[in-house]
Amino acid sequence: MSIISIRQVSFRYPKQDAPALSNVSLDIFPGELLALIGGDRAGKTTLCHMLNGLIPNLIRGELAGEIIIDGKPSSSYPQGGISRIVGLSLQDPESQLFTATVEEEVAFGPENLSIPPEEIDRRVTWALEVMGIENLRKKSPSALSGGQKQRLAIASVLSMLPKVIVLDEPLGMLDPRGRRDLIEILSRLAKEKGISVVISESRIDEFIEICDRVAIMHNGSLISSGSPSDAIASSDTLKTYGIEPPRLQILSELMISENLISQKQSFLGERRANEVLKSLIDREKGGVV
Amino acid sequence: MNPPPIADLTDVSFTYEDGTRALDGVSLRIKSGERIGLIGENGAGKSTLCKHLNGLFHPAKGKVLIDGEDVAKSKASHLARTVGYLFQNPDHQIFKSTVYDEVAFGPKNIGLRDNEVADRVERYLELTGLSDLAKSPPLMLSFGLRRMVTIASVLSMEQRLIILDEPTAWLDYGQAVLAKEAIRGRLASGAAMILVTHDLQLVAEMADRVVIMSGGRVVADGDAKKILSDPDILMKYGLDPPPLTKLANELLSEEAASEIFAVADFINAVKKKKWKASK
Amino acid sequence: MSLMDMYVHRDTPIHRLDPRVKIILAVFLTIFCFFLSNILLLFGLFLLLQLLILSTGVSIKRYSSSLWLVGRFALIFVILWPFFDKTGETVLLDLSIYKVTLESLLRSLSLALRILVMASGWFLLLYSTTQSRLVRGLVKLGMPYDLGLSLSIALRYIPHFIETMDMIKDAQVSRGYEVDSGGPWRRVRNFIPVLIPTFVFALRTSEGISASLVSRGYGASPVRTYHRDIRVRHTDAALITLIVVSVPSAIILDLMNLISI
Repeated sequence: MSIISIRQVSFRYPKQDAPALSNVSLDIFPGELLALIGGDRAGKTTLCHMLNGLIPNLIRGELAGEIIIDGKPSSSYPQGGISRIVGLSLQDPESQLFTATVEEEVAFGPENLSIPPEEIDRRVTWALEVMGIENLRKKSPSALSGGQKQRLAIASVLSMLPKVIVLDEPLGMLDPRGRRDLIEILSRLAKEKGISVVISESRIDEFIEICDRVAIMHNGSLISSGSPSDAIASSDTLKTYGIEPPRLQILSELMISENLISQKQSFLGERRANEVLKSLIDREKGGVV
Repeated sequence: MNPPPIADLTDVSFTYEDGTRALDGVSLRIKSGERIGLIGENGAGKSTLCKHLNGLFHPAKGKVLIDGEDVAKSKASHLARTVGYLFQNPDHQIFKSTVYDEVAFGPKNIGLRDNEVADRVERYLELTGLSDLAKSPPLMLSFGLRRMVTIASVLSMEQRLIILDEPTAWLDYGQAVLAKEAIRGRLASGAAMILVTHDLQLVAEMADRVVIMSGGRVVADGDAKKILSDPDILMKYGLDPPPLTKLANELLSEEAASEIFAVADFINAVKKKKWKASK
Repeated sequence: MSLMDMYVHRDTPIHRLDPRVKIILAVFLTIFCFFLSNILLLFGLFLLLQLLILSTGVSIKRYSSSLWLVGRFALIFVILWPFFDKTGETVLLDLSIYKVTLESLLRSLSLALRILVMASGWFLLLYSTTQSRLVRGLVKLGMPYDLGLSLSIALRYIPHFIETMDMIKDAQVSRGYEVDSGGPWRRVRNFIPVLIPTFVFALRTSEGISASLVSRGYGASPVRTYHRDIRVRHTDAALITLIVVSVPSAIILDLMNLISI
C-alpha cells in the first residue's frame, strides 16, 4: 500500500500560461528511496510541495486530479496536519531555520504537535543522532556550515516522526564530502528506519546505486518511473529531458557498442561498473593463461 | 616579449572581522588566457581569494596586481572592466524589468557606446539561448534561466579575466551545454578564466591548470590532467575524484590511469588491456 | 551587530533566572530611570548591574564596546549640559556661554547614569536570555504567541538580511556599478539596483518561512507544548517581588525627597 498516491494531477500557478504539472500519477511506498530527477522547469519543486500538502493548502492555483496522503485527500487535512505524515525540507535551508539553537529548531515541530516535553526531548536526541549532529545541539543554526544546516533542516522534520521525508534539491550547496555524508545518511534512513525518502535532484550520478526507484520528470510530466535501469533508458534520452547522464553510463554504452561488454552487463554506477569490469579483466587474464 | 600576467598575487593574507583567517600567504600568478580550475572544500578560501581579484576585498598583507595595477589603489567598479565575476545566486543581482536591460546593465556601466552595448547584448542573448526571452521580466523566469541571464550579463562585459563560481550548477543539460559553449567562446578570444567548482568533471573539461586550496593556502598547483588523475591528492583535500578517474585507478595500470580524462581514453585502455597488475 | 548575537552561551545563575524576572527588571529599571535622580542610588545601582552583567560571562572586551555605544551618548549629554543649564551656586568653570556648576554637573551626571542604568538592564536581559526564552517570557507575560514568534523570526533574520544586502552590493559593483558616489539624492537613487534584489530576496525568504512553518506543523494543535518550559522557582518569585516592591518605593521616597545627598 502506498503512503502517498497522486492520481492524474495537473496544476497551474496563478498568472502562468503553462501548467507546472500535467497529468502526473505517482505513488510513494513505505521505506523506499525515490529519486525524482529532472532539469530546470521539470516540475520537481511543485511536486515536492504537493507531496506534503503545501499545494493546495498554502500555495493556491488551478488543481485537477487526486492527492491522497495516508488514505485521505490532502485538502481534507487541517493546517499543519500533514506534517505528522510527510516532512519536507525546502531548497534553501536558510529560510527554514528560524530559531536560536539547534535543539530549539528540532523541538519546534513536536511542540506544535503538542507532544509532552519528555517525549520531545527523546525525539530531539534521536533526530540529532540519526543526522549525526548531536554534538551541535547547543550551537546557533546560523553558525553551521552548509552541510550541517541541511542536516539540521532534515532533523527538524524527522523529530515529527513522519513516514515520508521529501527533500527538494538537498545537495546543491554542499561540497563533495558533505554530499557523500548526506547521501549515506539518507540511504540508512530508508533502509534501517523504514522512512520513505524522496530526493529531488537535477543529477542522478550520486545516488543511482542507493535509490530503489527513479522517477524522471520533464516539462511538468512524469516521463518514466521504475528501477534505475528501467527508468533510465539511454544517455541520449536523458539529455533530451535536460538531465546530464551519469558519466559511467556513457562509458557503458560505448563499451557495449564496441562489443567489449554485453547488453546484460550494462552499468550506471560505480559499484556495478567495478563488478562488470573486474569480471571482464578476470576473463581476459584467464584467457591469457 | 612576455606580456605581464593578468593577475599577480604575492603573499596575500586576509582575516575576517570575526577572526577567521581566510587567506594565509597566497601567491599566485595567472597568465593572460590561462584556464584555471580553483578547487577545494567549502571554507578553503576560494571565494575570499576571488574577491581579492576584483577589488571587493583588499589584502591585509601582501599585494594583488591586476594587469600590472595595484588593486588596493583601484575601485571594484573600475576593476570590473578587466575582471568579471559570476556569482552563484542570480537573485543577488537581477533587478531590471527585461532580460535585455539586465544584460545591458554591465556593458553600460563600463562606458560602452550604445550601438556596442546593443551589439553585445544581442550576441550574448543568442549564445545563451535567451533571444526569445529578451523582453520578458527576468525575475519571472525559472531558476536555471535566471542563472543563464547572469551568465550572459557577465560574458557581455568581455573582460580579460573571468571568475566563474559554479557556472553550471542548477542548469539543466541543455543550458549547461550552451553555457559551456559561450564561456569557451570568451576563452577562445584570449580571456583568462578562474573556474570555482566542486564539479571536477567540469574542471577536466574546461581547465588546463588546477589550483587546490585548503585552510586558506594554495596546497597544489599544476597541470590539470596530472592533478585530476591523482585520486590520492584529491581525497587528501576532501575532493571526490570523478567516477571515471576512480574506476581507472581501480582497474587500469598506473601509467594508463594517469591518461584517462575522457570516456574514449578509457575504452582505448581497455582495448589495449592496460590492466592493473594483480596483487 | 544584532540583538540575536548578544546572547552569551553560558550557564550562570543569571542565565537560569526565569526570563520574566529579567524582563520585569529591565522594564522597571527603565521606568525607574525616568523618575529617579538620586545620584548615589543611581551609581550604586549602576555598579551592581555591572557586577551582574559580568557574572553572565560576557567578555570584558565585548561588553565594554557595547557599553561604549551607549556611553558615548551619555558623555555627549554631560559635555553639552552646561550650555543649557547654568544654574547653581558652586561655579567650577565659567566661560560665559559654557558655565559649569557643581549642581548642574551632578544633574548631568545623574542623567548620564540614568541612561547607563537603563541600558544595563537590557544588556543583562539580552546577554543571558536566548531568543526563544525571551519570547517565551513575553508570551507568558501576555503577548500572543504568534506575535512573539514573529518577533523572534524578525530578530533572527536581521543579520541575514544585512549579509545578503552586502552580497548584492558586491554583485552589482562587480558589474561596474558605482554605488557610493555623488550627492545624497544620487546615492539614494544609486541604491535601487541593491534595493530591488533585497526586496525580492525578502519576499522569497518570507514565502520560504511560511511554507516551512506549515511543514513543521505550525497551527496543527490549538495547544502548544514546550520542550523546555520556563517555570518560576522560589528565587525567581522572590526576585520579582523584590523588584516590584523596591523600585516603586525608591521612586516614591525620591520624589518625596526622603533620600538626599
